Amino acid sequence: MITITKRVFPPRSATRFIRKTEAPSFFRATLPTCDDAPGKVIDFEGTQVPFEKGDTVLTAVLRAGMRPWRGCLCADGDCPYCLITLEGISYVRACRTPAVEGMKVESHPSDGYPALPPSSQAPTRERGVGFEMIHCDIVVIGLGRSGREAAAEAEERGRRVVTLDARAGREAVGVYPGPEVVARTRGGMVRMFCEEVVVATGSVEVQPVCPGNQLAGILTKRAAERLVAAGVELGRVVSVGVPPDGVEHEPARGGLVRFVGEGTVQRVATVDDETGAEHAYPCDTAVVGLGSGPRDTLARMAQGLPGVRSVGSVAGHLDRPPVPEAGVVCPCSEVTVDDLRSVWNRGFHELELIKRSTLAGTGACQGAVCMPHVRSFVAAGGQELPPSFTARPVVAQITMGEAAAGWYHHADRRTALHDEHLALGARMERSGGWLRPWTYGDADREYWAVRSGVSICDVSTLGKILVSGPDAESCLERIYPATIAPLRPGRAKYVLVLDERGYVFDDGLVCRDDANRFLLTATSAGAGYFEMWLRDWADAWGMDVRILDRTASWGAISVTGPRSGELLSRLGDAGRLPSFMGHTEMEVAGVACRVMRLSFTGEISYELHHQASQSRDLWCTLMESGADLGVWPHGIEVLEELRLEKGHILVGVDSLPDSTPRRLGHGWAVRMDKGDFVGRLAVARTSRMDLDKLLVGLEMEADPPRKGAILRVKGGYAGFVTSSTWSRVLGRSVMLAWLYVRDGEYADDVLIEGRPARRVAVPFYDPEGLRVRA
Amino acid sequence: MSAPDRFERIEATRIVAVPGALDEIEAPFGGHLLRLAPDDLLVLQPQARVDVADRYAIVESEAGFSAAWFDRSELPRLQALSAWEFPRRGPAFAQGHLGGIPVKALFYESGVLVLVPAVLAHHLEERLGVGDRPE
Amino acid sequence: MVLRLACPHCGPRPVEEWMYGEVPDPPDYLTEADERDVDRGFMMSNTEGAKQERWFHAGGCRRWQTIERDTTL
Ligand code: FES
Ligand SMILES: [Zn+2]
Repeated sequence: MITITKRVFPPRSATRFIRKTEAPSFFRATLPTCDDAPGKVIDFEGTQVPFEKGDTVLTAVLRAGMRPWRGCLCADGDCPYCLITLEGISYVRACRTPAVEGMKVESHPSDGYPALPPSSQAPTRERGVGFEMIHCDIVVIGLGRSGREAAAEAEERGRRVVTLDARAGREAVGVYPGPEVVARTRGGMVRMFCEEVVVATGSVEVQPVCPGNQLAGILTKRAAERLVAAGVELGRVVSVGVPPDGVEHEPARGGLVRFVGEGTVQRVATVDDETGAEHAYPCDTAVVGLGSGPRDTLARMAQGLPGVRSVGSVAGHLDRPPVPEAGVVCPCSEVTVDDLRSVWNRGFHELELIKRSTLAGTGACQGAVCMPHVRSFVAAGGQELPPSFTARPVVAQITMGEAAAGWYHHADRRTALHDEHLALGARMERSGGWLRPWTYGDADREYWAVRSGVSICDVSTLGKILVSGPDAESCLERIYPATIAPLRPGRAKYVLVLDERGYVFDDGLVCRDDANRFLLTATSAGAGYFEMWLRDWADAWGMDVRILDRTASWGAISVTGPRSGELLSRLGDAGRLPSFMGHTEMEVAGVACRVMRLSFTGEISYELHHQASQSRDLWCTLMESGADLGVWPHGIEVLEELRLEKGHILVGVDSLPDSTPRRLGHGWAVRMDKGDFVGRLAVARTSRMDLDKLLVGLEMEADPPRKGAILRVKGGYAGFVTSSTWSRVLGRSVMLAWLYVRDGEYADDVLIEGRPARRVAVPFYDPEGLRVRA
Repeated sequence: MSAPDRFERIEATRIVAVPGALDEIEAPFGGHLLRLAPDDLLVLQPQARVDVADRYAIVESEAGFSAAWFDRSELPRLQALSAWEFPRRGPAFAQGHLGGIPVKALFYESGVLVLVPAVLAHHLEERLGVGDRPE
Repeated sequence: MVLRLACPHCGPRPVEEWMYGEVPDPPDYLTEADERDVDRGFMMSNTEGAKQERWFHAGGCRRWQTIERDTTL
């Protein structure tokens, strides 16, 4: 998914539904208006080109007598010829761009590849693309006769109708199931949700394929009519095929053979069908009327979707053009008739193969120009023609900003203590979907506050889930590989969470309140997934349980350090503080808390869970009453060091997607002598296999290696480091690492980044755990 | 058009119980009931005293939501940021993404009360153009 | 974009609000337990047409729904 940070603020007028098909513009307020005051100009490659009311860039430039675009212009958005770079944005069509005072326009480079915009033009908040969603009954795409009829008919039935007309700057670029239509408008991108879509996109004119068809000065019949109506001087006009209406011209007799000229067309050559004689017609402009086919890209995109229908000529059939003899067939990919013959002679006879081998049909116009001719070519070779290709969104070149419009960056959650952290000078970092304080500026101070005094830490991000019901205990017995039944009220237990393959994907605590009610904790990053996991299994087993996620509703503050008890006894009934791995409900500083005594840091720790509305009061009181004890908060940078010294794993950091409890050295957390639990079969099976890798503790002198650094044994690969830190209290570096079995054994000494490291037992710090129980 | 208020954390009551027990609960005076799921009810009143006919019900104070009121005139602007259609007439409860953020909403004839998880409120404010919190 | 799923509690909602349920769906010919386990991440029966799936309505009621989806649309 593309994610771009931006503010979405749709224009206020944008949400009115159109009732009248005659004046359909829900983006009228934002349409650039063509100023008709005299003297207004656009900047076309340095030339100041004047324009009039109603002008597009195409009409203004052509009226000024310039002929910058080669090929047969259609003036209706189908051909790939009038491409421009507008204010740094490429693949814009001049015929679809209203002229606006001061606009900077360059024509598309002849090699077809415009430069990437400089980074200074990257979308910013201020320049973000507008976006809105619309709910209606019917979307009509195209406002030709059949589109207008369909819209009028639906209005009569009292339906809410939205009409899209590319000529008026509202261009449907995709049709999706739902149905849903996505359109680009001059006010931004619009998603429309409706019951019915009417595709009335009309027809596209057949382009000429013959030598010289890439010269400037060639127009389709409808383009000529439109340009003349816009006041463009065409000079001496020769027309081939069906003549244009309202355009003074000399009709050329016979079939088109070639266009001749230097850059711009000067003569049109035709051949008399009967005599075979060639005629040449001198001209300034050549106009071709070769028939038309359905403009059906959107219709093909919507094929088979319920609620989408095509009306008018888009549902009609193609005037198949004559078999091309010579010249460029696909200008987008520069494919000539000779190229088609060449691949044909090499055995590519199917339309799909010809498309892939030549790239005809894969360019900016997505085959609007070339596919009718390629089909004629294939048919002439005696091949059966497949139905037209399925089309995929989008049908027009949209910018990255337009593609990203309406998609937001990931929403990081903030705890209730966010402002407190900022006030204390914290550097906030993304972590597990939350913004958390990384450090308050002085890691040394944070660290020693924990190890020798008292410190607090915002752990509100911890997953917290209440489970209650007659089946609560049996449900948890099946969820966790640990035994739950012996757990007494007021006690807590460390648990792993396994998937069906026996791999560890989360860990946490189970706290029992009473016979039928529990509080479960999960990792900060895994809480949302764990809730889904629990609910899914409870559903599958038909368990009579009630589940309530408290993660975002409860704040949690960890009070840790040898003097943590002293601090808490000032704020609450010291006699009620729980013993290690116990929990209780009590008031701390007047705030109702569930106090849990555990340890992640290696020191005595109390976690205070409370209503998030009271987090700030509790935090501030702890800071104030602990001032003389030197209380100071620690961020997650230091927390990572502290837990690593204790050898606590972080699931998702130290574990791998295939970490069995045994590989993690956590076999003790699995009880095979209880009933069934998720992953039991897999654990039983993998336990019979040889252990191929192990998460181990390593230590070395001097600086710690990088996370991910490679372990080597006898010069060979033997694993990698998952967490590492310099231990301030131990005076050496400690780390967790995956160690692979080599020659049937686990090495005790390894090389990391060229330096020796020793395997040691974890925890590195206070191995007997005397400090946390003190 | 008056600018909507900033989102403020609200105090409410959350009840998770068997659907039948929740069906019987009547809105306490001045409170509103939001049925978040068949077995999940949010009562817009702090420490609401309600009887729940389910001895295993979880009844908890709920401080996890922030709320803001938007006048009727703001509705089109909000609707343009939602991929699902708002209820055509109030009072009605609906929930889903608004500007990509999960919200709960109570629609009335005069406007809409939008509830958002407080941990995401700052994002919703930004996306709805509420307030002008400096980044 | 694209997919809309009807939540029985909340109503029709776009797929952005949902999480897919990762229903294990190994093809029938995998019968050995290890193979089924290992391959379930990669091998899908790839049903064409109507298919029952589990979807979690993360942006609404936060409950699992069993929803029939036409995989060809
Ligand atoms: S002419 Fe545009 S893709 Fe072939
Ligand atoms: Zn739902």
